[in-house]
Amino acid sequence: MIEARGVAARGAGEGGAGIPTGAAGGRKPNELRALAALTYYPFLAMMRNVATFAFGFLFPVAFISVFGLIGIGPGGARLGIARDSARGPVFDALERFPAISLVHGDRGELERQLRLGKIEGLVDISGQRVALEVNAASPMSQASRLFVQGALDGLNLQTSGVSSPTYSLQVQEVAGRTDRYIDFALPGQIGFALLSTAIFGTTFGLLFLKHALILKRLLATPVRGITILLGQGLARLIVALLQTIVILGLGVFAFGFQLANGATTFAAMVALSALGLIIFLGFGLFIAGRTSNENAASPLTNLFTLPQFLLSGVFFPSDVFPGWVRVVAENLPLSYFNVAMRQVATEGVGFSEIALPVLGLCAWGLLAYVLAARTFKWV
Amino acid sequence: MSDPIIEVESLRKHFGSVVAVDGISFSVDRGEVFGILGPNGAGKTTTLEIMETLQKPTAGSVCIDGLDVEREPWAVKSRIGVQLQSSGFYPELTLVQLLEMFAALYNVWIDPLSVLKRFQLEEKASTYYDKLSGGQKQRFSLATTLIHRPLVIFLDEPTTGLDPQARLNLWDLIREVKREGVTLVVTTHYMEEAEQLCDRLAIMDRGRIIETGTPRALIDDLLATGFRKPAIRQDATLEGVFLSLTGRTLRDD
Repeated sequence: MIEARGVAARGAGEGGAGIPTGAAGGRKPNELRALAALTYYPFLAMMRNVATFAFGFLFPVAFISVFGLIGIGPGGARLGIARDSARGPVFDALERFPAISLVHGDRGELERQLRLGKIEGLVDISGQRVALEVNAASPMSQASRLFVQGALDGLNLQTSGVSSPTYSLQVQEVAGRTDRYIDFALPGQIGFALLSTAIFGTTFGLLFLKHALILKRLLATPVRGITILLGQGLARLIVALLQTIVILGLGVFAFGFQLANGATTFAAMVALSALGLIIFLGFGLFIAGRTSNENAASPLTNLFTLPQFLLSGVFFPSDVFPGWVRVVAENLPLSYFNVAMRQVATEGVGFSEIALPVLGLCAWGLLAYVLAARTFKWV
Repeated sequence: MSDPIIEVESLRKHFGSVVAVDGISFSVDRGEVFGILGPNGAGKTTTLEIMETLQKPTAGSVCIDGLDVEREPWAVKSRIGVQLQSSGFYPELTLVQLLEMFAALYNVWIDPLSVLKRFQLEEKASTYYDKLSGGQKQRFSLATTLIHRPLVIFLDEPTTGLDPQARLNLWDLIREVKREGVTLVVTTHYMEEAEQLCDRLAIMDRGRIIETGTPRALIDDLLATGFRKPAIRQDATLEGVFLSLTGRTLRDD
């Protein structure tokens, strides 16, 4: 085919048969130059597109910020203490106790907060007696009791002159890292962003190209259809990698997300994102290829993405589900991706240890591209 | 019919049980402006898209510059320029970006600004496509059909929806393109446009060509049947009034 296009000079201007220079016929196309152009310019267009920006950057950044703050907020029990109680050795002991954060205020106001569950308990100190009022509905009420008891025990030991108690408890942390919600949430958010970009971006992006006759106009140029699709895919890939980097950067620098092995983990996460996006793109291509109708595509995109957003461990681990739901949940494409991403991100494992989820992901990818190739319609 | 650049032979196109093009044959000479006229749904766009390699015929053949469009679509694509009925461009790219993209697809090197200047769009160089007026969009679309110096360009209803000033301006540009030796195939349902622009016409209805000839010959044939327009002596048209009141200057901005 390429050879056939090479003879384009035939019948062109220099023939002298009264054909002026305006019409020269074509030149042999350069598929590589075309691919570069069909990647770069659609990429520029995507970055100017509001939907790409919202789904790809704004949502994940907003989620990450919320989840990041969950991890950073004051830990332990919030106990209210009336102003007139806030002095003396008992107060000092409570204030020193790490798992207790004291909330100062008027007694009436604190009682209201207790009923609303905004604080876990209300402490009254009169001399050496401490009264603790807890909200029975609060899951922290038992812990609050233990915390206050712990603070008083320490005070008792101290006042009895015991500096090295006979019995003591030593707690050892198994992982050398503090596992916070952000460490769970961030890899899931990368998966969320990639799946959104791949499915919503590709589906509605391609449907728009069909409707606005952009695809048709491109097909009228001597460039292969596969080059047009490849360019679209590469442009999405660049957008997706930028997303991963933005999400990771925000997580690491703003919320102390811990990369297991620093830069190596970062590189592995970016590489894994690239793989994930390529797999997910297959599904986008499948949905956008088999219909030209946004109304028909919309339920399909949601049918494919919503269960995965809920079941695949984006917001909470999928092992909370009972038996068969769990079997389904653990075998979804996004679950494979999230499992692999979490292991790489927080445990710093090598490729051999995530081979299984990666294989599962690739199997889904194969299915997607075979389906897409069979049903794709250009118009 | 001395030197045909396009030869259409017994062309048919069916969509399921619907016959869009019903066995049409015609040829287009090198350097002429050939018009395809017909009401909506006559099969004009389908015929055009088969010539543009965008659809496959059910039966029959189209040859452009001696190349069969079905067998050698790639060679044909680099010899033709295509203006679709609407848009066809990324709304989020500027005119310069779009021209550079198309130059890369056709593998030619162009100076985008001089291309834009020729079509009175130089001030819009860094404007996004979706911010253009209707006339500017059509002028830009015409510009993109020409960047690889094609032998033939296809314009599908180029002046539909334009105001009279923009339409006259586009006619001038089309005549200029013709003077450079480019062959043009234009569909329209404006009779005045066909009469003003086209060297020869084919009139289509329900997938068939019912008449071909020069505009003058078609009118003479009709007169020969004894047809007479109701004789209202009119030294000026309403369009003349409109243009003398509003001027011929382009109103794109």
